[in-house]
Amino acid sequence: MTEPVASREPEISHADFERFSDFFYRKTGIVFDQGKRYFVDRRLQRRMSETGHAEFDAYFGALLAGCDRPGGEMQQLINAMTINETYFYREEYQFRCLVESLLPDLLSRRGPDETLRIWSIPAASGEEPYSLAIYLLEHWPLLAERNVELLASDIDTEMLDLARAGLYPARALHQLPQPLRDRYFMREAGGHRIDAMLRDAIAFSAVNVCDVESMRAWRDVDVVFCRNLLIYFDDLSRRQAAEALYDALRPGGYICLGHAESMSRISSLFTVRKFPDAIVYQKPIESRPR
Amino acid sequence: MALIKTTSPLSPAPPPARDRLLDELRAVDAATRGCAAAALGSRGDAHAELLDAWDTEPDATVRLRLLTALATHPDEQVTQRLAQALRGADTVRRTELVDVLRELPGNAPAVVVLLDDPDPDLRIYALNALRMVPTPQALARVAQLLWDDPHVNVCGVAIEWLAEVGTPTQLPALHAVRARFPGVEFIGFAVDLAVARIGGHD
Repeated sequence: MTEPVASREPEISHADFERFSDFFYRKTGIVFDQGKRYFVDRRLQRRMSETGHAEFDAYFGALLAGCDRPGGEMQQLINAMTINETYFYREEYQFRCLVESLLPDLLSRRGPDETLRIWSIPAASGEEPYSLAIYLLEHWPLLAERNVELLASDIDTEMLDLARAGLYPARALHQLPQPLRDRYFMREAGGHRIDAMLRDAIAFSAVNVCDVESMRAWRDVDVVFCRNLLIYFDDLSRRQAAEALYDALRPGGYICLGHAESMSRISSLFTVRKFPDAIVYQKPIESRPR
Repeated sequence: MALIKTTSPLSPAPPPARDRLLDELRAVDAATRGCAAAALGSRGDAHAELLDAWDTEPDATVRLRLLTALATHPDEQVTQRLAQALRGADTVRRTELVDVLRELPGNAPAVVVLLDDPDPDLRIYALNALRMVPTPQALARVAQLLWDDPHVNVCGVAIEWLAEVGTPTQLPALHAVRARFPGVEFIGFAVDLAVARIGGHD
């Protein structure tokens, strides 16, 4: 085993970067162009140092040798390249897409009394499902005429407890306009508590999206928000999760992924739909014999 | 009308018995067949039935579900049969097979033998199936292609593959393939790129 490197940052040449970014794209669907060079280099260098590799070639060789090993260096690298913080109104353009494009399309196929079901998974500490609730209340007047069920799930029950409690630090609210903070949050010791009406409106539950048996309970969903989850899975788990979500959706239902994720690279079950505000994926209304 | 909370908690139906799932695998409705495939995949005790169903399944979405189910608990027999299925499959099914073979750890022995097949298209599909599993055995065999495979497109794919995952050990093979196809510009270009990347040169 090579000694850990502490004295200098390992060098990554242009050719190394190109080679790595091609491979990473093929493995994950995430594109790193030259504009992301600094970001990628820093994270690659950190992983190289942490795994005791002074040279890119040696690190890349080790990465390839173990790339089909669950939880191995490939997964560590994916985690390093995709770490994100969650907050209210994150990737707000998808909520706009929901209200402007997805809901009108769904309503065109549904009876006036039918409830719409929207599922946020992973819900993490609740920022996404609460954002959905606030956005619908603020931007979808038809909510006065339609019932909407908001489901929110995560595999981590501690995160679900945090979500149910609904207490957030100020940085989680930085994207929210002040009037919305005033309307939906109460300041208290330890942060900002979301309105009890919203906490009561969302059904939180523990779900493992890769567990086929438990996923059989989830059906008739109209829209799934599954952002920045599949990216953390290996190829097979990603396909299994995509197929479980496919089963959970009604025909014609939609799935919204994170901005760096592409369903086209995971499964061809879904149809790509390009709307003015976002690209999303739709379960076909009819099955597709070939 | 408003935001409403689910009044009755969602609870999973008890998992159907194996026999019932096998019946559902032959259901008229494609969605039922797909769900049955997923359930059988998680059980891991119906490989032969899933493989038989894939052979005759007309619906592309169900075929994908069957392949994912087979990949859930793969064994050597599954990998062998899927690799061999590449020989007789049409283009659509070959693409589906490559996607799933890439995800099967330990696919290399079953797929590498396809690089000896006389059909150059099959050799290209096999190269693509090996792409995510660059084992030393696979790398050595792919380098060997550059010395002796007569088809320029097969060699092109092999060079592209080595540009991503090759090591200095394969440099002689890359120079050899350039010499074997001296008039083919894209081979020269691809070799230059692969050599530069393997050498870490800008």
